[in-house]
Amino acid sequence: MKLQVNDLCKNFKENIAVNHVSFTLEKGVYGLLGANGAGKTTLMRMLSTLVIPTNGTIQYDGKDIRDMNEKYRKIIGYLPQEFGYYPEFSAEDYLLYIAALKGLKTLIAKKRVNELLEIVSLTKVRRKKIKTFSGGMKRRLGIVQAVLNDPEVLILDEPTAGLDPKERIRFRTLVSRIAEERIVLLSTHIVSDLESIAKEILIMKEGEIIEQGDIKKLLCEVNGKVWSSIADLKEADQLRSTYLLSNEKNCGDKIELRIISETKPSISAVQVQPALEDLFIYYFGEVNEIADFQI
Amino acid sequence: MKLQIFKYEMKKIFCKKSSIISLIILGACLATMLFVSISQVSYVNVDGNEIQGIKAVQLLKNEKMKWNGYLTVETIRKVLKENQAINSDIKYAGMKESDIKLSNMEYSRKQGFQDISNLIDLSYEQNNFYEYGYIDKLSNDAVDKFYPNRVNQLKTLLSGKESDQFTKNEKEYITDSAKTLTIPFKYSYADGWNMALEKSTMVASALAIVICILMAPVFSVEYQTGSDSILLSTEHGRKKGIVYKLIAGLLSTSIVYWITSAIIYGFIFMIFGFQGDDCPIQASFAGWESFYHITNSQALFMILLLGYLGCLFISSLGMFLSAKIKTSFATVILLILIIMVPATIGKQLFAGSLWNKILNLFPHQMLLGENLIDAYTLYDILGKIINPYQLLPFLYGIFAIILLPFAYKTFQKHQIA
Repeated sequence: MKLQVNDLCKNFKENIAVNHVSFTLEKGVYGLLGANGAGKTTLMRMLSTLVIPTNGTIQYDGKDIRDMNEKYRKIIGYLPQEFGYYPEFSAEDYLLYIAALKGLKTLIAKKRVNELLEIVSLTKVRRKKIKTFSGGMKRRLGIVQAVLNDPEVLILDEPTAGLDPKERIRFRTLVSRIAEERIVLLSTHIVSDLESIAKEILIMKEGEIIEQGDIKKLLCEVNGKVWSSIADLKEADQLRSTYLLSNEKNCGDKIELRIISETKPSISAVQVQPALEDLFIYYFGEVNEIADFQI
Repeated sequence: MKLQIFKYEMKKIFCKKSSIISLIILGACLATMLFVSISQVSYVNVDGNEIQGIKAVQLLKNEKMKWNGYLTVETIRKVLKENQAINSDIKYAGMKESDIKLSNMEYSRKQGFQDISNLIDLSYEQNNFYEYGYIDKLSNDAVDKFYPNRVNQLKTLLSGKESDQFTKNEKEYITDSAKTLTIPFKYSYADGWNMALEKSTMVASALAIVICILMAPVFSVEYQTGSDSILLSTEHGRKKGIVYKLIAGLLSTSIVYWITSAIIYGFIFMIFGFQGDDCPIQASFAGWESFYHITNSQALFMILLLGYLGCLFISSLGMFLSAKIKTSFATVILLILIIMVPATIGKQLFAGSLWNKILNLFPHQMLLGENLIDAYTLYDILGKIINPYQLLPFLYGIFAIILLPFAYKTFQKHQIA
């Protein structure tokens, strides 16, 4: 089970969305991390056969997915960033329809739908129209449709967007459970979703994969560069405008700042263990970003 | 599995709010049309009192059926004599216009042969000008001209100001058709068929609009809801899924067309009866001038089949546009424009021109119902004369078949940008 991406490119007129990307995925969960517009969605769409690459190939077990055609689509599950559904359909109807499109026989489909609805706690609302669902419920339904065919390759584009913390925990458990025997590629902005489940993380910036590896390896990049500093308001302002900030919180009349810096940012700063969020800021953050956001 | 895909494609078509609303409006409009038509049927009893509605239909039917038979010269003469006898009845002598009761009593004696009386008025009209009640002026000596008049009127028409609308071959075809028509006409009470034929244009047009609304979202709903990315990434989403969409579109068109037609025409025949099915269409007021040698039942059959093919074409075109344009609203507007614009362009504007001939080829022709049977629409193709019932099914059948693979390919090749 190997998904190989070779020198993949996608141009939309003048705009290069994906630029000579190559990587190989084997069994396990892979996180695709990148800022908005990094090209994650286009890459995932190409992996789902929804967009034809301008250049390069995608191979599954050595075969080009374009030659495999429906044989490849049979073994993939895809959850798009914007989950499209038919408002007049009930959750059950929708899933049975998608199951039929995925080639599941009616009896097997019904059994599978029942199981999955139970896992995502949608059994009680199975006959309700999807248009009455909350954002989180729709997202859970989207996840169910993606795994209906028990896919070998599961592509999830921002699967946890709109889920509350409890639902995100449940989602992580579900993905961990189903990831054992398949390739799961998921993109997210919420880095904590990846920390506990991702085997490897691919960092994408401006259409290119700039880093790839397990969390430990990637965190080495920021090792010794993450600092915690407790500062008063005036000093905090100064630090914000000078350094990359990955977090800050109020501690009475002081502010605790988490700073990414090659050098010690202040006398009181102490080195701390880096986390994935720090890595994200290291690659995608900008100085004064948090201060600007607060304004 | 295949059935499941098909079942849900049908559900997508019929469960949409726009579909439900359009079907309800269609039902309400057609029900109102029937109600108004039936309530306007009037029978006058011997006392001059007017009865309307379903009861009037039955009473009028009994009166008219007394005149069933062949419209021979003898029958015409008999009608003329009966009319004269009523007119000269002393009871109505010196009747004033304001004496409605007396006028009604006189009419009550004439209503049984009113259909034949109307045909006489048509046959003896002067300079293409129909004069209601001309029968009252007609002398007994003129009855022999009842059938020759029909041929002569046509000749006058074809050599008059409208002559440039037809080619020489077309004129010959129409004249020959009039000359070779089997006479005498068989006459029977045929209000059911007349009503069905009369309403056929409205029924077909209303159905066509509803089908536009039903078909417009077939593919565009996938783009508009964002479901396209999931559908096209599934095993059967790019092949069977699209094929079943197209089948569901055509089948739902067929279901809506035939069920609506069955209800409407079934209701008409239930109220008015089936009598008159084997009478030529020329034995009715509306069909008098037609060049088709067909009976009432054949006329309705032809209208229904052509209307059905028209709706299937609209369905194919609708699905193609839906895949191409990607929004339901724009698809509906474009479809309605394609159907309605040629239908509303005054034909007289282009009389005698090539445009007139081209307009006769547009899809709205298939929805004209009885109006097409009564019109002198012909196509002179390399000297061979073809009528719309021979050309349009062939032409639009091919178009409909060609459009389906185009719709298929358009959606199949769609990329999520």
